[in-house]
Amino acid sequence: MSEDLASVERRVKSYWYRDGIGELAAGLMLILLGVFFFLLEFFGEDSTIGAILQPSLVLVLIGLFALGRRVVEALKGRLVYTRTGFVEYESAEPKLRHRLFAGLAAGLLAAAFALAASQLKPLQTVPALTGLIGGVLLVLWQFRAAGLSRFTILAACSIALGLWLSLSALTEGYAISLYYAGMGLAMLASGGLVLQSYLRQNSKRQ
Amino acid sequence: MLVMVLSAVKSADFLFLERETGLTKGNLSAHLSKLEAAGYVKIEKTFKGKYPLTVCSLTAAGRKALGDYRQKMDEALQTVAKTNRRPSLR
Repeated sequence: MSEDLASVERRVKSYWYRDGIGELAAGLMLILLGVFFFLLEFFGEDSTIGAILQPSLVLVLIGLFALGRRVVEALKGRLVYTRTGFVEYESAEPKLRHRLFAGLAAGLLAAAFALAASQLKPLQTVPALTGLIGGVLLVLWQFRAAGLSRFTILAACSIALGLWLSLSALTEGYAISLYYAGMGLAMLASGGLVLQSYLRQNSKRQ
Repeated sequence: MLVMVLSAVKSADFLFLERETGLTKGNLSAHLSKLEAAGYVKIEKTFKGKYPLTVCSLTAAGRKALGDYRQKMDEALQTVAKTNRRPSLR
């Protein structure tokens, strides 16, 4: 009985990810973030534009999240609700032990990379670290999305791209902007293919 | 199955429930009516942006009833498992 409910829960929770719209929105946000970091590196921190851009990163992130939510709601309303229905999920409060574990894991990861950075001087650590964190987040997203395997592929892309950019001759700023733009394109492609498949399989209800 | 699907979400519309449960429209309506009459399901008409929706959600009584049912089923299965493990007297 418990197993049946668990499999029903998994299937229902994976519904949100079946259309690929979340990845499309995330891809768009990442590309815009890549543009932000590119502009920051291009103009330089010492320029007027750089002086404005640098402290506005938090505002940019908040704005991008808000934009992402609006894009998802608009696309789901237009394409998904009329085809396969509407569902709203309970917002789960993360348990204290999960938060402690996440904090501990983040701390250990940061310490490991600080140590690696001091040892591996030719390697730019920020793109590699960003790629690794992106990969971990995508794997965690896969668990939330009830095991949809495309997130594993995106996680592998993230780690590989981060590592490749770390070993490249690009400056750190351009490497980071290229990472976000590259992952944005990967997620746009992934989300686009999934959405195309979804629309083909599910016609609009009259 | 219908109650299990509703227990995994905050609310869901008729179309989603029809697809996830595999029930026909008529069957699903009948089930929902009975569950609403028993106080286990709440049905309300709302809007998501500009889209009209009729959404269903499990009430607290419905969640409790599902929890009680699961507990009884688990106990029954454990009893059956214990009975099967006992050696035969023949």
